[in-house]
Amino acid sequence: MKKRIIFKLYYINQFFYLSRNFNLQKVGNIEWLYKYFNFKKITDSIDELVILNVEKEKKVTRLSHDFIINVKKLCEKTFIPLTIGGGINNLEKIKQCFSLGAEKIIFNSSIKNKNLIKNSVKRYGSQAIICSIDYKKINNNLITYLDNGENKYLEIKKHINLAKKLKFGEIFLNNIDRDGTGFGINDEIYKYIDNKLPYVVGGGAAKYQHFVECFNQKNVSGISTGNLFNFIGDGLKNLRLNLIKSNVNLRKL
Amino acid sequence: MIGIINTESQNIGSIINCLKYIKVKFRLIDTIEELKKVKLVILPGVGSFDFVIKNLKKKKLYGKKFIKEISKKKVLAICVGLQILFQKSDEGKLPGLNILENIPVKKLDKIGSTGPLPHVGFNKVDLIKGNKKQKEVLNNDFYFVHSYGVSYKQCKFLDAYAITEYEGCQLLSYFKYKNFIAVQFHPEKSGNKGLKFFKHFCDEKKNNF
Repeated sequence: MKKRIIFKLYYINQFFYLSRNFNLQKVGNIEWLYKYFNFKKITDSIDELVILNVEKEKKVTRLSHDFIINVKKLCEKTFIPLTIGGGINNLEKIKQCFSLGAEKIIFNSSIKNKNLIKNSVKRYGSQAIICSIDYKKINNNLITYLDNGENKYLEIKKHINLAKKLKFGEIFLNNIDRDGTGFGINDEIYKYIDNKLPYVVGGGAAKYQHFVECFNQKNVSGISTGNLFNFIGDGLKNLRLNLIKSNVNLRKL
Repeated sequence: MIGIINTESQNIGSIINCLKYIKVKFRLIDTIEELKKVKLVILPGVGSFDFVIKNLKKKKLYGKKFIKEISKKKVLAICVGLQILFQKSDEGKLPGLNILENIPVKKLDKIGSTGPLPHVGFNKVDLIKGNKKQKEVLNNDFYFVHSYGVSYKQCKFLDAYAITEYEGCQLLSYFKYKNFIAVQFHPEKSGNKGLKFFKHFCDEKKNNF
């Protein structure tokens, strides 16, 4: 199987954002994204796109109308697998995401709702249900957080084991400390990664060297990045071509 | 004008987005009468074998009349769309369209795969039998999501075919048989190579898959 470069974008109320240390920086609305960021070029150079809806109204039972419109517009020009996440807390929203064209759904805080996860896996299959784990280093231990990095949850090993038990099909490991910093991926994470399911690591990857080192780790299936500013112009495309040259098994463009 | 057989599959929306992007006109096909009006047909599928067959039966797009009509068209079958062209599947209880007689669709671990299922992600397609043009369009990386498939070993009689390796199994990832072109992967999720694939299928003059 090919390894993957995954791009992450946040959405709040008509605008897209990038994340820096779990603080969001506004990029622009969808038209702006295409016009000034050449977003088509970006989606041409990545393997998967993740859109996280981080609107605050978590209690609503359906996706907001403007989120749906924006995802629809994205899908008109994006022909790679799409993952949707953020506040997905009921089956109705999950159904909406799939009918919008999502291939997968990513869960973070909803891991506490074990029935929701079990039902989603049963209905759509493990491969479509991703567990997103945010972690921080606290006194030499890797500790996970829920609710957008606000509430302490588990020791990382326990969190991964819980995800496996709930039959998630894939695990995203995001380092809160390095998120959006461009300082490189925290190498302490690799010892928690096995070959039982695909792992995607993120937080800090910004340069060619970071990507090569990470892809050379056994069992890393993908790297997620959210920092557009590191890859302006042909940045992502060139990164990819260079990685392929270094024998990283990526999809050829 | 391309007809998309309305199997109610989740991937129809993404296929429509691709066709719009490459500026190809399309219509959804829900009846035999509508099928008669088009020359090129896409048969989309994702999810379960029986789900697709049930939906076809509901619309009377099944049985002798349907086979006769669809055999006059140039057809592109995608994912479960490919699988239902065969006799039957390990996944379902209902019979397939049996256009490729006596060949069953198997769970991938029954045809040699030792990897986790489903087989999901981008993987390489290798044309084994076929012409230069087919090779150019097909010998690329495409996006797969499936747990069932057909072993290429039973399929050497096909007009053209390609295989994809997944953890010890060599599965049939593309074939041409009479008027049918079928792919196990999802061109609608395979980036620019997928768009190129659709462009090639939709261009009646260049289409020599």
